[in-house]
Amino acid sequence: MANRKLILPLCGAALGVLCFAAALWQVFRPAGAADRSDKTLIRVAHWQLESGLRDAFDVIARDYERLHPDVKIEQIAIPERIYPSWLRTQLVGGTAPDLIQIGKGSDDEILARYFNPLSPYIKSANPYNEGTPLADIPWRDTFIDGMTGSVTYQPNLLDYYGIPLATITTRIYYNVTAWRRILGDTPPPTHYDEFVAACERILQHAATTGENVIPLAGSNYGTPWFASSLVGSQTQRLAQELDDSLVLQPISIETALQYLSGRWSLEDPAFANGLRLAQQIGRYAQPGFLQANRDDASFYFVQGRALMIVTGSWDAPSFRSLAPFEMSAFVMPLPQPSHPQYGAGVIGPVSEAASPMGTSFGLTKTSRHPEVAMDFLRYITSFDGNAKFSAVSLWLPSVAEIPAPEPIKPFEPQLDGYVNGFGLAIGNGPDVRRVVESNLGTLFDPRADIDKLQDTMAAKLPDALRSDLTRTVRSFLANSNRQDTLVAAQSVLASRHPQNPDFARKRHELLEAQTLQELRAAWIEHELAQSP
Amino acid sequence: MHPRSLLALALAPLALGAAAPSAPDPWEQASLGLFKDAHNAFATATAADRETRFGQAVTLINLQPKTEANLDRAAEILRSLAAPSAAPATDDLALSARYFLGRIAQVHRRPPNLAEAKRIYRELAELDTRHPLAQRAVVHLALIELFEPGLPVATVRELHESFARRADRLTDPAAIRDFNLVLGDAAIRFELGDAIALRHLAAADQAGIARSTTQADTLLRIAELARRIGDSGTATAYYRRFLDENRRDPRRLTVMDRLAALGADVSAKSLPTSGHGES
Repeated sequence: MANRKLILPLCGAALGVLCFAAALWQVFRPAGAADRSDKTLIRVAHWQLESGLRDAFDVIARDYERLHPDVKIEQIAIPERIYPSWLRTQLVGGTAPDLIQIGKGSDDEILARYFNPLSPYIKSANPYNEGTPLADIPWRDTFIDGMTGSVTYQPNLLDYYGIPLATITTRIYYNVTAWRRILGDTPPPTHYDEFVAACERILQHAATTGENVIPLAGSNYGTPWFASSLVGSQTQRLAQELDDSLVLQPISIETALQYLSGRWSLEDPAFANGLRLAQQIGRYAQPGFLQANRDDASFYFVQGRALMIVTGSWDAPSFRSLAPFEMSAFVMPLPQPSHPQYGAGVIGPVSEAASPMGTSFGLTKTSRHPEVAMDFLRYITSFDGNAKFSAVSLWLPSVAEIPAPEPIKPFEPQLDGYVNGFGLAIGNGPDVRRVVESNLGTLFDPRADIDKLQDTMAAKLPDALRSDLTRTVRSFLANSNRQDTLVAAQSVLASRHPQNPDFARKRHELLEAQTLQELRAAWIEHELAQSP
Repeated sequence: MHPRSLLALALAPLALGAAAPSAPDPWEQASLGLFKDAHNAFATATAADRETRFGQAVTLINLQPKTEANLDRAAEILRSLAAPSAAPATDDLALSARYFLGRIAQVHRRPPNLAEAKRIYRELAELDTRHPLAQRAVVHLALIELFEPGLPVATVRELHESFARRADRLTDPAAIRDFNLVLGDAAIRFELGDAIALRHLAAADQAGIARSTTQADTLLRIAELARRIGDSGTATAYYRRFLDENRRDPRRLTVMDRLAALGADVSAKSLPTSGHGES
């Protein structure tokens, strides 16, 4: 009798173990397990589970296989949450795929130890660009950012370790269906006042009809981001006035030092106006939105309970597949210079020329077919390949001269604009961020007194800024120290291989990087000593 | 699951610190930041020649965890390479060893021993004025002395003038570039004169800037300094170079505004290409 009672739970447990084992096998199976044919197998791993992305990889892989019948491309999509541990396991076990998306769990040591530097590949033209506007141009220069971004060029390793497939921008997505129903033919806002007017009409609609809808799906992720952009719009002119370095853009450590030395304060009209703008948007999000994370806000939006949401272009394919309504996006609406109350600090619209690249792939040292793997990357980032990848995935292309597909035109980077000012997280350090985050509840409370908020923050900022700046000095010096050994190694290698200019180039870059880091560290220490 | 994967899963956190399976040249390992592997290779090399001992020392200074004992040991090896007999040696390895002794005192020790670093750098600069690292010692001297906290601006100005007189003695392009970047930055920070700052930054640019971000910033700094002193020709030339060399930079429109204010022709061809097929 007792044994019979145990049968059901035991069956359940056994089934659970089997499912778990199957899942583990699926995720951790070694290279070649999926294909026993004579074809050259190239395995490509990434964490982009969005259906559009996986479809795009499949389409391009099949195209490539048709061109190269002796090659098979296998896509491995790993959940983002377990990606770093999966990556380490595969790399350490020597079972890593040929091409791996880098950026999560791939620090300098991982890249140096397990990935190939890509300099040898990127200087020559991409053969798949023949007959296109990018023919005969070095592969590196066919990318929109010239492969200068953080997911491609690794400044500490002084080499390229990733080939990017997409460009990323931030937008306010909106529910076009509900927008038309509630706001008629009102076009999406192009500046802040139009955004406020639309939000007020949505609130009014909800109040009069009883419909459970709010203007903006807020979260502790997207809303502070929007708020910081609004503050940045107000400090555009102030940042240019504080440009002691003469580089025409705010430098976070300079802004922090200038705050400590009294060059500007939270009471400065520009920053105070930014806080008032930020406060206003709190009214348009759901109550208690600061407790909501990114996923909670996404649910609000795709369920139609909020008309708008602030997030990156990477969410577009997911929203399109999940949301039962037409969706589009617009650039975050900022006040214009002519605005009577919030225009004085504004220079103009913000340029997105520095938009980051994403979905970058590195070549593992254990790849048995590195030339074929790199050839596949050349194909997917060719003029035609990347255009098709973009058309299927609905992500922005990473390659220049490719027209964005119609549905993602609203995500195209806006290039005609100015540098934004500095936002809420002055100096970008963790201690200041904590001060800001602990005051977000007050900031987004429409009834809160901004003067009191300024006083509260002003009391905590100096210590937080000093702590952050001291940490920055330590970080600069730690990096510079590390580069000493690299300088010695590059010098020895350069003298041994005078015919290879790469060693001398790397030595030059290292020395320049050391000089600039130590210059900045020395200046911070000098200024901190002046304002103890 | 493959047995190797299972084992790797269990040992992953430890295994990252283990030696790479194949990297025969320890200098190549060191150049990739794999300091522990490189150091082990140098320390167990059968031939304990001077270069191997130098390799041991320069990898010791960055072994983790960083310890005073490792720095002491590195300094001991470097001293033996710098002055193997009573008199200091002046070959490449000896001068390099002396340079890294200076670096240990300047940036690796906690707290740094700047007086010791300055002494070593001065000696090195006098031992051989042509060696690239001896010239780099002058860059470090300038940085340490000009940015010493609490100095009156008059003293900084005197120091700056004194260092500027040494500029002609530098011949290594990297040293010329970095020396002038330091002096140019100091001139801006301590308001020693826009023309002085411009002269140094232009010299750094001429020597050849290695990184694109430094290059873009330096072009703008030169242009801005030239604009402030009324040298519109130089300002225009450098703003234009910035536009030519930085097709996607959020500062382009500001630069075009600057050019327009200087009366320069800002033609449509200077406008940025979108990169997304709009141009």
